[in-house]
Amino acid sequence: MENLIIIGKITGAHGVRGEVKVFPLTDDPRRFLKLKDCFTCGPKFEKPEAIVCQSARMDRGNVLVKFENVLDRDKAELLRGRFIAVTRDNAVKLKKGSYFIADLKGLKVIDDDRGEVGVVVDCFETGPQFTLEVKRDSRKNLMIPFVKVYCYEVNIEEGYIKCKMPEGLYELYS
Amino acid sequence: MSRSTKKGFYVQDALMKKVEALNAANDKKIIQTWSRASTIFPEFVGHTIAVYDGHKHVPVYITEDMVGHKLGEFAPTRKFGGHTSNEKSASN
Repeated sequence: MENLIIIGKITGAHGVRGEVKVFPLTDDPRRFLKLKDCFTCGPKFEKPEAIVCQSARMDRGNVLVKFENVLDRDKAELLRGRFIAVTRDNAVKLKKGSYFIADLKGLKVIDDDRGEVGVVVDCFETGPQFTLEVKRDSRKNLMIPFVKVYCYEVNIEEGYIKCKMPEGLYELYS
Repeated sequence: MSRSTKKGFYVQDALMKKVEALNAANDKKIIQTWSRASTIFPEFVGHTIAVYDGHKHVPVYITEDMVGHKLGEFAPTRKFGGHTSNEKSASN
């Protein structure tokens, strides 16, 4: 589990006073309005640099952020393409039964009947629910609806998801 | 009565028969379908339907909120890779 979590991508400079335009990569873009300590880094957390957010405001789906020590457009332009990340402690608090998609990736999937079936490689939204994509050894990837009925136990610390697959699902991807 | 009201909601006959057969047997076996245009009826609730997205079947667990929508709405045909570790969450 990475200690940092990405919350947005800097897409460019805004104005001449050092503001940057940020594309939010979080469920709640308004969390930027309370942001203080954060990091700028590459997409795989390369070269993290601590930075302090001075102010932020919403702008048509994007967020305009002003950092301390970024005083003009030239310095803001240098941040283009960088990602904004926060530590786990500063990440938004999730409700019970909610998990960061990044944390779900890599978890082992253990079926009641078949034992360990594979590892979660993706979790994507299918309308009101999510679907887990599970990678198996030398077989097609398996899709499991991420609903309480089937995935009844998620343990991120231990690294597994316990599930009871519906009849016929395993055979569908064989 | 307008023409669309007279005709009623579309659902593939074969799919409806399969769901009714499962309901009669009180079974929850997964149903495979290519019919993305079929409307979700109240009879579907609680079943898992594997809807074709163009190259694979995506299992969709049908809940009450989905009634009246089309099956295809829950099996996206395009996929965004996304970023490795962002603050987006999933709940079950």
